[in-house]
Amino acid sequence: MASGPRLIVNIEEKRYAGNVPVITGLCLDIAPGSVVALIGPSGVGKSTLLRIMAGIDRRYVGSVTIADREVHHAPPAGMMFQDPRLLPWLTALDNLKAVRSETTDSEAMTWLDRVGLADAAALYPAQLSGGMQRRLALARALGVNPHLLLLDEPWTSLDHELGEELRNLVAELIAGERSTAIFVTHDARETAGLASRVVHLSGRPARITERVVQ
Amino acid sequence: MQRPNLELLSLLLLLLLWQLTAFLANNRLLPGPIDVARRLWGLTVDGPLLSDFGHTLWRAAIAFVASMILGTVIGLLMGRIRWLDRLFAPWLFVGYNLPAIVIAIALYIWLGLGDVALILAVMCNKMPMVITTVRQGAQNLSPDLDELAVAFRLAPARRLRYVIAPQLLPFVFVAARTGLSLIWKIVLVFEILGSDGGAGFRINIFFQFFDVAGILAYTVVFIVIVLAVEYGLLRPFERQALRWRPDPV
Repeated sequence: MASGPRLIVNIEEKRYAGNVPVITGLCLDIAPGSVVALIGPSGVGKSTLLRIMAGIDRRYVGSVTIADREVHHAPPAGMMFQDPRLLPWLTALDNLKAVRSETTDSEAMTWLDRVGLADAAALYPAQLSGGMQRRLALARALGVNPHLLLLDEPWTSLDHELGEELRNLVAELIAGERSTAIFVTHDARETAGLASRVVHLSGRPARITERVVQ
Repeated sequence: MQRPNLELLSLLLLLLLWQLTAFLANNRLLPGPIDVARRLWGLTVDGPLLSDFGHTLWRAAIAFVASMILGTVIGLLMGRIRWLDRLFAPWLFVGYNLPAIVIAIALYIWLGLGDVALILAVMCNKMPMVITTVRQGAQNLSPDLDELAVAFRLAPARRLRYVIAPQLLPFVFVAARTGLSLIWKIVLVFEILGSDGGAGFRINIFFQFFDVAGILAYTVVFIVIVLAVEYGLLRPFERQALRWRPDPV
């Protein structure tokens, strides 16, 4: 069974608007199929790094390659933003289909079922609770059939039970698909049992100060 | 208990007031609703009313659809591409403030008294308003959803359909609604100014004969058409397109 891609990140410098350097001299080589946790204090640049890996932010000096392809030419990663970022005018089912033209109704239903939202397929995001919206965002990330998953604080602001439930679901799905996955968190406890590697970002501009292989 | 239909009551009250005023004035320059209804019937059955409104509706529809399509595309481009906006914003400002009658006269001189000149003149008057409204919508598109589209590598057509168009739709409806009322007025004035048929052309003839009943009969038809478009077309379409919005509390 194929596993996720190798990801090589080499950022010489990333500055925010106003010319404030946020990341300098950052090199990461992420092995295929590994699960990496990016941790660090709020505002250190974790989400910025994830956005660079997703090909959203192009204003940096350096390079990011996914399976030897430059990030902007690589197939889309399954991205889960900090906020659910759903399309409010589409139903739950259509939110999954909108981001990938090949997704059929039955495939979308399968993903909704896996995150426990099969009964909510015809509902609009405004009709879903916060927890349901996050599960839908996760289903959308997984539904693009990604070999690379990028999750930005996926369990933040969820109650303990729901957070645990989603964490287990992600762990199960990553293991099943053998995807490469990178998730951002500011809580080191969330990495336990899921991440094969923890990358700690700190300082201003941010640097990698710690690498732990679990 | 069923609430009284105040809208219907208001209409009946207006008709009653009108009839009473006409009765008291007792002047052929102020016909009552019954006289106007008689005239309307006559103009419909034996007169040119249907053919006139056919002409006018056709002109208004062509000008409306063309202005909406072109105005939406230009407004979207100006809202999304900053240099284009800076380049053409002065044109838009001038277009917005040019007197409608000047454009119509100039086009009639250049292109002759025909449908092409009339429709172009209406478009020149309406498009700046559509462009401005849609541009405002395009400038306020959610950057978060733009990022979503980039992250999932949505193709341009898919991005337009699922991300951009739904955000622009409320602005397009505003442009359509205000534009529709504007177009009626402009088409009528331009038909009076120079055309060989249509409601405006006929109203000008009624005016020359002081035929107030004829003018009011045509006005009634306009009101009926405007209401039919609003309640039979725009509102159902808007309700369907914006059904995802939560009901206001």
